[in-house]
Amino acid sequence: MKYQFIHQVLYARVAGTGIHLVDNIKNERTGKISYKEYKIWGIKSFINEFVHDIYTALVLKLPENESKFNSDDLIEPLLSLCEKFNCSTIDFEKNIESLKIFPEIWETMDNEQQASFYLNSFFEILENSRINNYKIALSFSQLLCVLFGKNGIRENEQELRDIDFLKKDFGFVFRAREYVKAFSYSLSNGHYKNLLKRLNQALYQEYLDTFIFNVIIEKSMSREDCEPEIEFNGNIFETFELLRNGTDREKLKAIEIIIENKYFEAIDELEYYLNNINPDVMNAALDAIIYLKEIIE
Amino acid sequence: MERDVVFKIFICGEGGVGKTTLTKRYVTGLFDDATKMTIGLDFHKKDLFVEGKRVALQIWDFAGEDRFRELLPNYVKGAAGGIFMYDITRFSSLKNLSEWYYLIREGLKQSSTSLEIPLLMIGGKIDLDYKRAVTKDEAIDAAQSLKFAGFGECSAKTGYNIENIFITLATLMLKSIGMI
Repeated sequence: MKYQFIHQVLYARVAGTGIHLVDNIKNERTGKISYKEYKIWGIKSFINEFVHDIYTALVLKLPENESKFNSDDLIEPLLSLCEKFNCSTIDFEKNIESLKIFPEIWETMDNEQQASFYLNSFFEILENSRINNYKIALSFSQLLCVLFGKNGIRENEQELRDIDFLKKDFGFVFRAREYVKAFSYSLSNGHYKNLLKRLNQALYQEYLDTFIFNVIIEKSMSREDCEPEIEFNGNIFETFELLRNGTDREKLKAIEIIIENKYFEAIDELEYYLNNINPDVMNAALDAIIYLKEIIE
Repeated sequence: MERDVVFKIFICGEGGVGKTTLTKRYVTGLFDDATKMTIGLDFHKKDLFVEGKRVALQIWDFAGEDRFRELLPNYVKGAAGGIFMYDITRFSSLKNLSEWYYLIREGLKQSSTSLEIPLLMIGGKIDLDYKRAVTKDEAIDAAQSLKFAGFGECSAKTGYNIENIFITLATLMLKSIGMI
């Protein structure tokens, strides 16, 4: 295959869904590009067709002899692709200019590296010009109002920023949807209408998973993580006090100290916690009783 | 300024850990609270003096998003050093650092760049210490197991340790090529 590196960059950029680690036969760990199997019927053949279409459009306009290839040869065919997929050629040119903002950096790159920057710039335009107009921004702010309350938004700017990057990192399904829309536009035959419907459904599910379930879980987890370390000196009276009146986390800490200091006086008290509603406290109390009784016997 | 040496370094890590803010803080001395997502890759330059040598740093700031990650192996070609960043308030950002590490190594290997270049592991956002989710011990363990040349924490907001990180890396790079 001619210009194989272009095909590789295209395929990785379009179909890649992240990275994963694998151990090779020498037991060395390496990072590989992941190509997750999404359960969206027809997506794989679409990707192959889409990548092939872009690859062919580019290679047709590149020198026959690969050794004569110069990365700038890609600019013109990429501009034609922008037009074909209804993307802004001006934005693409701006992107290209910004790549060369430091000529000394740009010139240290080889042709393949520069080519991958050009290709990436093209996909940025393809994705971002659409992301900005997407309705998700609206749904997202509505969701935040519900989660944080109308006045809570300003107080939770950090959370907002954290979630903001998730929004941009919406993943493969979001990108795939944009690619299908762009490709359908260029074909003008509604060929991928059903695939688009399936992608919309998958995107909605991702939206729920990413923004609703994850946000709720992360909020509750971070609160737990931020709790300061329990500090007290382990005195038997304070330990009993903590066991009786503390939170579940404090009860567990108290049981830990009872075991550490072998407070046999606590056995009767601990039995009371064998019916505790929190299974962690219940199990810890049971373990402590068994441990202390074994020592006595 | 006539430079004695030019180093290409990269900064990588999960989205939102503060790579761009760190770089901007170092390059311009300003904390840009409203830093937007990096789109793909940003370049920065900085000249500095280390051990009497004039060093020019070309800083390649990689975006953390998945869609750009596939291009990383190609981008690290010719790098002389790197910074792997995580956010001390997000444990997942440390956990995912090993994926970045092995992916970058793969890229270095593919491009015949030395695998022995100095790499630092840096925890960002130390000004949010009250929200800390990664202890120093956990981070040091991770840095040691991945054989990083050094570990540190910093705050782009207060400027804590920023200068030091880049000077340390520049010193290690100069040592690795036998210039000091």
